[in-house]
Amino acid sequence: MIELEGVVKQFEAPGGEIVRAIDGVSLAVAPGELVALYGPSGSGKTTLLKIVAALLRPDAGSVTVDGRDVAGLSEREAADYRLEQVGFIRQVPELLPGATAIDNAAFKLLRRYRLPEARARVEGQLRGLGLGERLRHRGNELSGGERQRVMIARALAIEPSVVLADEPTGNLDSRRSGEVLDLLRRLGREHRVATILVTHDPLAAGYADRAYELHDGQIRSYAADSAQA
Amino acid sequence: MKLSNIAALWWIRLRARRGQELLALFGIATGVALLFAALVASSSLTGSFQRTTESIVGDARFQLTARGAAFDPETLPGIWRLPGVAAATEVLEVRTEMEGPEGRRSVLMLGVLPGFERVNGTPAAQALAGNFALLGAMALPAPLAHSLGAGVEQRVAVDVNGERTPVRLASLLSEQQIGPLSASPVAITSLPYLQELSDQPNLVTRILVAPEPGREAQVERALQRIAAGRLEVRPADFEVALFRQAVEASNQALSIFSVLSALVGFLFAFSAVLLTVPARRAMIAELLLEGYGAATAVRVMLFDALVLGVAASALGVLVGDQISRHLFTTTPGFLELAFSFGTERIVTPANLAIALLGGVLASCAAVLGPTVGAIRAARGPASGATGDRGRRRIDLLSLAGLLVLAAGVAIANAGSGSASIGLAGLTLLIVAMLLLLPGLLRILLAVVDLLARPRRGAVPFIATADLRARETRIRGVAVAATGAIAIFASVALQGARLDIQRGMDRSIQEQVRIAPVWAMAPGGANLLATVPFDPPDIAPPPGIERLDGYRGSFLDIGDRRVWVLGPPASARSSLLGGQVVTGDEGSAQRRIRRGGWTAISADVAAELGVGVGDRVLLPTPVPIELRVAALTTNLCWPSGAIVLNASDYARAWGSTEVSALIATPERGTTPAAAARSLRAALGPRSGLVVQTAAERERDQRAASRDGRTRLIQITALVLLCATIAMAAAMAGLIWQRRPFLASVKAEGYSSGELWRSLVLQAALLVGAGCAIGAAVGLLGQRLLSHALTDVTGFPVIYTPAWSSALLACVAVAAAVVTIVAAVGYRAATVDPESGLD
Repeated sequence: MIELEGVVKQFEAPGGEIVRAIDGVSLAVAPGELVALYGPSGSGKTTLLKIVAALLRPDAGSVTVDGRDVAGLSEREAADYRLEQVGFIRQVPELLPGATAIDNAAFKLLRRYRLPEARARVEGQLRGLGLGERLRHRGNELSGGERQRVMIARALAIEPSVVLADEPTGNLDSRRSGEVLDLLRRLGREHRVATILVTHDPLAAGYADRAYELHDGQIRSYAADSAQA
Repeated sequence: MKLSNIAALWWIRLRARRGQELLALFGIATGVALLFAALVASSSLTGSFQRTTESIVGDARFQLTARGAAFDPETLPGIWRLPGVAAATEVLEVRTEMEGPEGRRSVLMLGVLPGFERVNGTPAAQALAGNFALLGAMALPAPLAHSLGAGVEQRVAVDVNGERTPVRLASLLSEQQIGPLSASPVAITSLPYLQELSDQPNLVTRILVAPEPGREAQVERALQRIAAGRLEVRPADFEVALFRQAVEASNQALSIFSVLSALVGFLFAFSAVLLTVPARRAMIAELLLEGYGAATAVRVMLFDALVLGVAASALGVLVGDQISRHLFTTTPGFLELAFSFGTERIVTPANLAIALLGGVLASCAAVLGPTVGAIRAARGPASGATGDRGRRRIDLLSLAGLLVLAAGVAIANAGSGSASIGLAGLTLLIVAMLLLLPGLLRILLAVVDLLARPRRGAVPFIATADLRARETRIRGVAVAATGAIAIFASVALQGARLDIQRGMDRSIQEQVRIAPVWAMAPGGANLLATVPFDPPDIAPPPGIERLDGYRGSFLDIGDRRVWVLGPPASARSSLLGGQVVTGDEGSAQRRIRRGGWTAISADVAAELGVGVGDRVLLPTPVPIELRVAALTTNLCWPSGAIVLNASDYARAWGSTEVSALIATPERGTTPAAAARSLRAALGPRSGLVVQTAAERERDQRAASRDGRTRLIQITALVLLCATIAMAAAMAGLIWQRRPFLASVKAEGYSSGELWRSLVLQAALLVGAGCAIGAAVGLLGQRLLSHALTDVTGFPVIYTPAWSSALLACVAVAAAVVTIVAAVGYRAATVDPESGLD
């Protein structure tokens, strides 16, 4: 369960002006729920994800994940939190190009398990994602859609509390985008994971259980018509 | 695109990637500096000698030498009367040792006659002309006088003919007056005075003859008639040919160093330029996207390469110039024993052209190579080797590497026979090493994976996965290759140097230990006991059983200045121990003692076309025919050696002079006590120095090591440059990978885990490079040692240089990993927040 209450994050712009990137956002995402944050570039979507991932500290407000305050974590605790509880899916899948698909999926398990055990834990997931024939292929031998599915497998391998998906379909065609989003929603429900999907693609927002629009750092209910307009 | 636009584009892009371009500049400059310094060192040695010789002979084109160093008094007037002769003069050159208030030097004393300036019309001769009346005095080049601490009108002690005589310094000769001679250890005096010092009133070493322009052939024919077989007619600068032959081995070693230095520099440049490839690739993609053709992209990149190459080469030449001034200044000490040359540094246009062209070509190859790949990549789907194709390529490279290695090993085992085959063998080994490197890295990564399997943790996984990525792998191989070549060069050359040193040490020991006590003319130039003197008329002093005369000198045979050793029959051991390459050592020793037999260096024998048992006529002052008892190494003298009985020597030279007195102590007398006794018997006025065999051996060993100092310096520089190259390339690579590191940190891995994986990567790359460099370097050592024996005839004792190899590997690996660890620590603290951008 992700809970944000009155979160504020501000930055100093190059001219010295203070900009409120996140301006009093409150949001709750339940386990198994997929919430989409829609908005144009610079609206604060990625900043909000970074706050949930404990990569940025909010200037005000609280952030809790499964009841734990992640805003006050030390650097070391924040790293452990991300490794054990947060799955990431990004616009450009950051695979290790020299590692195979199965090793990439197992990457976040290596502190907890030996490599053969970690592989065993992700193999079924990868097969389920249709990558059974591509397990031993290296990152640079996979297509964009395949890489994104490996990232999904990696994100879910740790049995996370939270999945943060930042424009996961930005580099995919509409058919592949649909497949990936469908997977996200289905697997999030199956694994009871609270998922935040950040996108500026109105179609992607359509796959979410709830969708919000982020504008000038403030959150408001998503209106599909206005987005498409 | 216009050239001005290309230049403007270059300037704009340069500002965005100053650091990377600086690294590439530094890389190429390092290679050029090493190459230039080695070339200058090589050309200075021969060039300096050539200029010294030319300063002495001036316009003379011919020289006449008498085998017995005694000319008929009518020879010079006869030459003057020949049609076409513009000038002729007698010259006496005597090697001496001088001692002033602040130092000792070995000096060539040049005795000349009035009229010398007519042969030598150079400003140098004009300056010398003022000193012709120097009876009882001499003139010295100002730098030489300064090193002795002697001023005008002061007296300098001169050791000549076994006597010490104080000689007045009448004048100092500046560089403006005598040009290149000012850097040479040469003293000028009048011929009669030098003859008086030498105690040989009619002694003349050569007559220099200057023909009128266009009448050289006519004069040469007339001189041959006058020589009539009793005298030798040779080019006036014949000594240069002798010197070139003597310095050949040293120059070959320097050439190999130059090539290896250039290779290390090129790999440095290549590694550095690889860092700029992403930026250049993006530029090419942009150009092609905007509609410019591949030709324009190549022109833009060629402009990059030329600017980089010219700037780096210019910087490299400047740095190389400083290296050649301050580091590569030692001359091979052993050559000073038979030749007089200065310390002049000579930079030829060829040196400059080779260094500059080399730098620009390296830059073009390093920039344009990746450009082709970038154009292909920008035009279509990734064409790089991936998956099975990449693995197959590595397999093929490894197979080719093994085949090339087998060829190199075959040459190493069979012996090279010629310098070019030796160099070809070395090249094969280097090529094999580079071909095998990717395969070795793959094996190393597999081993790390295997070792990591039973353990938890992402450190080895991150390290190996990153090194398997194509782009990292290419850069990694370039880094490892730099280390491999540097270690190869270091191990092969250091090992060969140690082999030759062991051989020389043994040869020196055998030569010196024929007698426990030696008395001979002092000075560094007489280390080999080749300066003759009249034996003092003394009886064996207390504690000494007998005193014998040892004879030795240099004899010009063909274009070789051969060392002649004439031990007395009473010598207690053979100086041939371990030096015989054809024939039986024991019987050769017995035959030489008996007389009428000789042992000749194999390369001299080959030149004379004789073998064991054959008769050989030696061109000594009184030509002598001897039978060849054995063929030997060159006894550490590059031009070869001849050993004969001291009595045969005396007959062949028609002289009773000796070049050392050797003493056999009575039973129970130590060599040190015998030396003291002999010193007392010779008296304080004697110009002879008395040494025990151990002391002489120590001096000779020190001199033989001096001659190889430059090789040690270059080896150290190559290693240093390779270390900097690898560290810089690795550091640059890590710094560029910070976005990747940030993304891994964003996933939750810590700075410590990332840092350890970076250090492991560095250790793997450097380890692979060093390991293969050391292993193939040991083969290179074997090949070089064989080549030195086969080509130069040096006495080489081959022992694999395991400890040198290990030391070089540990030193380079430790230095690189330490530097990378420091940079890696900084890089690993990258903010993980940027990993989600």
